[in-house]
Amino acid sequence: MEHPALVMRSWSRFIRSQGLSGSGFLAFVGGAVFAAAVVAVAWVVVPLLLPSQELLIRAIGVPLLLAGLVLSLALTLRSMRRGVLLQSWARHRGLGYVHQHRATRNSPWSGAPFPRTGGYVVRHHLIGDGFESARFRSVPDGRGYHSAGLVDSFTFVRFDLPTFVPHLVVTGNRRSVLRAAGLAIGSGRKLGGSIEFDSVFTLHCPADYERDALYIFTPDLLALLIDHAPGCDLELVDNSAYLYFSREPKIWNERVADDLLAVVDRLRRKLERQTRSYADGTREREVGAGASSSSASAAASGVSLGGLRLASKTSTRGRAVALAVWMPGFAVIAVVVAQALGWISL
Amino acid sequence: MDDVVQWLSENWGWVAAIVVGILVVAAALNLLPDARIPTSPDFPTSGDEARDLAVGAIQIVTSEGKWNDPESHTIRDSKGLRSRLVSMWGLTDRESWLETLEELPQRRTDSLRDSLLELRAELARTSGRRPSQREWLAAAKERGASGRDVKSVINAVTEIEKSLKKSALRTVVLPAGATIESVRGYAQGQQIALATWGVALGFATREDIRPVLRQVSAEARRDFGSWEEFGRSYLLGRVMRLVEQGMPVEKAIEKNDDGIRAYGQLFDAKRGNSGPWSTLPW
Repeated sequence: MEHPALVMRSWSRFIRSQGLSGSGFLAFVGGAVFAAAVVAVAWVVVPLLLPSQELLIRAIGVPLLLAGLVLSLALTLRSMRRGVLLQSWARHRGLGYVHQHRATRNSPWSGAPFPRTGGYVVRHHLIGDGFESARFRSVPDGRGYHSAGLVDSFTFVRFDLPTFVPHLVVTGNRRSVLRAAGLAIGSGRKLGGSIEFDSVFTLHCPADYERDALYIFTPDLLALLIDHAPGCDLELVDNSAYLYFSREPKIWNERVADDLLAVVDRLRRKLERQTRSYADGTREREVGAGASSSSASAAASGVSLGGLRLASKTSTRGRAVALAVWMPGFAVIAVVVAQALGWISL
Repeated sequence: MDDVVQWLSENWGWVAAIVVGILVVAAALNLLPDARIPTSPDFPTSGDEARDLAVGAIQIVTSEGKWNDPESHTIRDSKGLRSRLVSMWGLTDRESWLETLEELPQRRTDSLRDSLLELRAELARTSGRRPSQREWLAAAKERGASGRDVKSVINAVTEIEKSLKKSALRTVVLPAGATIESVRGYAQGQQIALATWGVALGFATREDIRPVLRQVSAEARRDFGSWEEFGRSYLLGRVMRLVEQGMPVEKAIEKNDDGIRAYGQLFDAKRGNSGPWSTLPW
């Protein structure tokens, strides 16, 4: 049990560094004042206007309203507490921390599930040297543009790779974070990483990059993924690696956060070893053949154009959700039109 | 109708005065010379140093500096500009300034964008003209590059180039036959400006940055064949940078108006090509 003075100092530091709004403090205080006002009005004013319903309002309406407001305040307080714990943990490990951030512009990450239009919200954003982790949710931007309204939120960990590599994605066969988020890889080749892991993973790579993919995703790397990050998808794009989780790990728990950091460190070291000496043979052949010799330094990546990006599309789940969302609207329009044309009468 | 005619005939003096007033304002706006590129009277506008500084001219003047001032006095004398620069670029000390200066070309690269521009340059060299958006997309697909990222880069570049076709002070930034082959000019222009800001922030002297200016300027001359080619590359890179940071393309294009204007001022065609990009040799 931490000393109350230390707890107070952590909370104070959290609110000062994250700001009144970013920390959730404003929402909590504003919510408490609003709740008190609403309950007071419901207790005093409404029975005056509806005297016959006084008993019902005071016995059921007000307690229900109170319960909802208290629950909402409790959730805000819980979120703030998690932020205090995470910030304190991050500070001791030399990491930066942003509790929550809403942006009306496109996300700066190049991974496949990040929408290219619309805004986004990240929370629990940890930032280190060549490493970051956050919970991501896409939202419409200021102009209402939104390319990924159906994409579920997900947690990602991004870390640097020592060199540029082709676009490679490893998705789980049983549960895929990307699929659940509404995304499917729509181009390239699907490979079995190795015979024993074929049933667990699908490895996606650009056409003509099958050997490169197997060079990087060796069976021991896939075994590492099974042992330490089960249920996660892994994506390599340019000189970054993204590890995706559908459910947020409870990183406000110090032990879980340390475990996550250890897993990322292990995966990072393994991927560094696998990619450090990677060279794109296709690119070398192109330059050797003089296809782009005069501007060979233009593409700093050293990866041929065909290897840079896999195309993605909406997954079956994403399409099903879209259909479910739009179906009632279409049904109403169809009924209205049919009635107007006299085909049906309601 | 009769009422209107009657009113006009009764008040023809006022009507004539308003019309003449509008004509005088329009003529004055058209005849008055546009502002020259901000130039410092305390530093030379010709010679090697001026020629090197001219590579960073758009970046310098759109950051409220004078293009030929290697010590960036405008920034040195303004606390607000200095603190904005420090926070925007993270220039807290000499080490961070040197690191930024060195890493800038790498930070301004984007594997997909650069490869697609490289591909288009190849196509242009083969066909002798700038490929259309459709031809560019088809060639990318042929090389195995497709998907939303490829399309969005090609669409963004095409949209931005449309905005560069307009005339800036009688100078067309992107003539119909020209193809922008890379955006390396953007990092080079920024490096020159950043070097002068280092002097303003007290991290280096004018003499210290001379080799940097010379080297970056030499690289720009190796990569491009003229001020026009370099300027186009700088402007495309500038807008693409905003787009890559998440700004919608049309908004990024709007924000580039000052860059296009500076491009025109640097040639100053309205005053008989008297701007530094007209008078200094490439």
